[in-house]
Amino acid sequence: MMKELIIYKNDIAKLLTKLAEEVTLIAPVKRKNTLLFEHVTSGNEVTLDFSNSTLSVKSSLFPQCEKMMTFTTDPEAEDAHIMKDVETQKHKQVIFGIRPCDAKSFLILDKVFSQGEPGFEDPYFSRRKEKTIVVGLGCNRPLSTCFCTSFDESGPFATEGLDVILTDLGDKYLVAVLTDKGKELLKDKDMLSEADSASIDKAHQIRDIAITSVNSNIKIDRIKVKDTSELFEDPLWDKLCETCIGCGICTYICPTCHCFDIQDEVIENEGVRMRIWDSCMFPLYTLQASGHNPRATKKERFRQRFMHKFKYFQDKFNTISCVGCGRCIRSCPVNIDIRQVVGEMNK
Amino acid sequence: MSNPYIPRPVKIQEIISETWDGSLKTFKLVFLKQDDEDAFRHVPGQFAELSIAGKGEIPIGIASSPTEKGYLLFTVNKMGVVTTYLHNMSIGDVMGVRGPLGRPFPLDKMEGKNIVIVGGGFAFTTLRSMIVYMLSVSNRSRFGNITVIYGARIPDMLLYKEELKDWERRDDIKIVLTVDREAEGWHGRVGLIPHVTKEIAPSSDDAYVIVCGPPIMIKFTQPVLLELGFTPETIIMSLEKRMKCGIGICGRCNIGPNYVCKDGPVFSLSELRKMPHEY
Amino acid sequence: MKMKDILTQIRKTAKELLEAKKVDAVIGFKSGTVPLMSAPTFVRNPEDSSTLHWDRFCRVNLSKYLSKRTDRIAVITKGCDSRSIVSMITENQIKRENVYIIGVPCTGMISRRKVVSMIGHLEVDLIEKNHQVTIKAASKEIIVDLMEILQDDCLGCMHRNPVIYDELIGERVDERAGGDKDSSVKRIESMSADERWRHFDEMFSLCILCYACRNSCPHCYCDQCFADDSRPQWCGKSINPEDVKTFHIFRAYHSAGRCTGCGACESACPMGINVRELTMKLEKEVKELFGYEAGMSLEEKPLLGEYSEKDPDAFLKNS
Repeated sequence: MMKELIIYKNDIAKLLTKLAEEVTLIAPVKRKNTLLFEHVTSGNEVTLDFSNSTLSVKSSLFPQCEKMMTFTTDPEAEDAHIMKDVETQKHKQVIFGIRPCDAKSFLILDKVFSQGEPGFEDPYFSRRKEKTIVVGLGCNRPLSTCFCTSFDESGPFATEGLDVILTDLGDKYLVAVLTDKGKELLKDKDMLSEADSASIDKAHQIRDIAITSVNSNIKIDRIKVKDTSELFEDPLWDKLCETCIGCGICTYICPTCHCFDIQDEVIENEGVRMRIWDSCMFPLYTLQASGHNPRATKKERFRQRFMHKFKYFQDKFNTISCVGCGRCIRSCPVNIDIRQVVGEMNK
Repeated sequence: MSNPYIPRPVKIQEIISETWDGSLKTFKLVFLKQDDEDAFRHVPGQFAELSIAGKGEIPIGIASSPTEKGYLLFTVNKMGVVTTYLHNMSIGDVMGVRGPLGRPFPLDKMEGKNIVIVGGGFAFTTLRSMIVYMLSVSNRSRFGNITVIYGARIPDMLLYKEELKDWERRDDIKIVLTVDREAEGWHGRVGLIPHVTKEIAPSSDDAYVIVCGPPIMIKFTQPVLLELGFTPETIIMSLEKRMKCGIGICGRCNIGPNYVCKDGPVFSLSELRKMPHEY
Repeated sequence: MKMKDILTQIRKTAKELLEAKKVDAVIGFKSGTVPLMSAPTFVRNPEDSSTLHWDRFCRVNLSKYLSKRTDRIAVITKGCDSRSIVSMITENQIKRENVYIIGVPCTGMISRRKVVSMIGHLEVDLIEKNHQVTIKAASKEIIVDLMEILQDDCLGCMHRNPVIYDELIGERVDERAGGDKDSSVKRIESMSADERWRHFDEMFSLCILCYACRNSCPHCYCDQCFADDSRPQWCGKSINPEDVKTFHIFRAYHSAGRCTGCGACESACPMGINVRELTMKLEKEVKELFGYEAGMSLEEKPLLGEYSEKDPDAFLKNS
């Protein structure tokens, strides 16, 4: 149902400001030394000239700290100690300028949070997702650390998980509307006009060049068929984990890492139960009250991360938990390269 | 969509100290709302998340059988932040229960079979649920011979002492109690569970065995059971792991592709053997 | 000595040590898979010594890998790293006889963050010639002075030669880099209290409490960090601004008298936060109050592990 439109770069800020009036707009913003996706109220705050954000965009569906329920411990209150649900996403939200790899990560997170069985569905994620429209920006110049084309139907201009996708044509963007949600969002926006065939052709050219310029990839064909316990016990893990410092950056910036902790905090008598991002790379993650820790050393935790993403998740959901965005490669303080680790696993 | 993270409110109706030092206590909880009580339909082997507002949650095996109506029993060891707070709570206090959670003992497979239960220490809690269930009037005929071997380090650490005495008096269940070492006032058997199991030699004919206990007990009891003719399919175990959400989402309790909170905590030995050894 | 000569010597030394089985492994650097980054590596076979690398991207403080080791290990050590090793030995994290220190006098490491910020691209190439550095990106090229892109800690470094070593590669260099070590501290000290609050509020607003700063620090080796304690819980785990600041302030104080200014924390931070601002201040205080610099000599006891009657006590009422 693709409909193709054009918007000149000079008009983008206007479009964004208009959108920000109608919905909660989340777009790329330059903050000091980093680029982040943040809530903006004006198009002038936004920059669309970037490779990718430091942090993934998962926080728009799965925030780092999320209130789950509230309660009071006031002994005078009738409903003391009784937990109350919260309102999660009041308004519609639009995520603008997200890269196709990050949009795909939403679909992977969806598998975890909406398991399709009553009693096992995460309401907070679902509530946000229902109200979210995703407008992507294709990657004209993938980085050397990108390997998105390693996965079926993925790539710098893939449309999985997107309602609209933009292509940067230099002085303007080609705006391809992919879904009804996208159509509804852009309806009656006079900065947009019908695309001409020259622009459409140029966009196709840019797309084709971008796809071929992704020159690193990973293979998991052998991992898929290996016996889980055998791969688990393989001595390759001793060498691979050696330089890891267990800092957890990889899990925080990864678009598909989804582990979380649940904590209660009370100030005077008012309390919240919230969830916060956690990391399997931390020793506390599996530490039991008795003191026993099934993953007591760095090797076990390192192994868990990669086995989970490329073996367990595959076995469970028939897709791997990675989109090839390369953030972990760029941010790892000791340059542990996921492509190398997977390469060893796939030997 | 209902919110599976919200605990249902319950009140503490009774607190029974299982040991003289109070480190193990059984809590009898009743739901504040009838709807919640009606909706809580558990099967022996399952657990629930006990929630204390402001402190957190703990996953505890349900010690009461579904045949015991109107209340739930949980036996809790005082260990960390939440359990310590719980131990200091009083009758009438309000807290929360989320559940039932987890995969229970495979009752469908155990139908019509002889059942052997081997329990050590305070892992006996969900085994109580199973025993009471089987012994109930409506269910006893569904199972064959029932043999229970239950041991603790010292007599004081045996749970449900009054009920153990009742069961000893019954003739439709064979119950063997043992303690690790001699103790004053104890006139029963003395011996470690693996040895006692070997001695008692429960028949593996048409039988299932449920084994719950500390890792070291399981390590030495397993070979005894295999020698007696039980197979990895008929040896049933229950695992423990640090948990938070209890519904297979937060990622914490996984062993390989399985979540202990959702695909377990009950696993057969044959299932465990296929999983990475990480527990 | 030129970088490439240092590299030849490093490889030779590593090979000899491994062939003679004097050590079980050599910890050094190998070429990184991302621009402006060299990666730590463990070399265990003599033939693999050829994978060792040395350049201005060897920022990581390799002494991080030493704590609680019981094997015999050689480690490539810059000035700041060597002081960390001294500190770790005096804090009983490693035995002196288990570590073979390959000292490398250092003339500064390049800050990846500064380069990327200057040229606005992640994918860059650098060519250094006579202290001038050409930075090349896809469609841009700029030339800068080396000083503009060195890590802040390197600019004000006071100990560029390793203070302890079993073998020194190349010749000693000028001990001091020449820059003002305390320049950023002085800038903040000159702010009013309100301005300082705003400065730190803004700085820490980006923190995602990923604990990378803690984990990259060689001195953060506690089995359980205070941040993970639950009984009592010292600071919350959410990114509530108060909890974030509490974590950083507590960690800074735990580093007081121990931090050797290697900059690993700041280099590791994915959000580009200048976490060193807190510990730089404490380093200055420690120098002024106690005349002490961490990790200078094996003979010295850890500063806050020892009481001396001469310790300043201006904070006591009737002193």
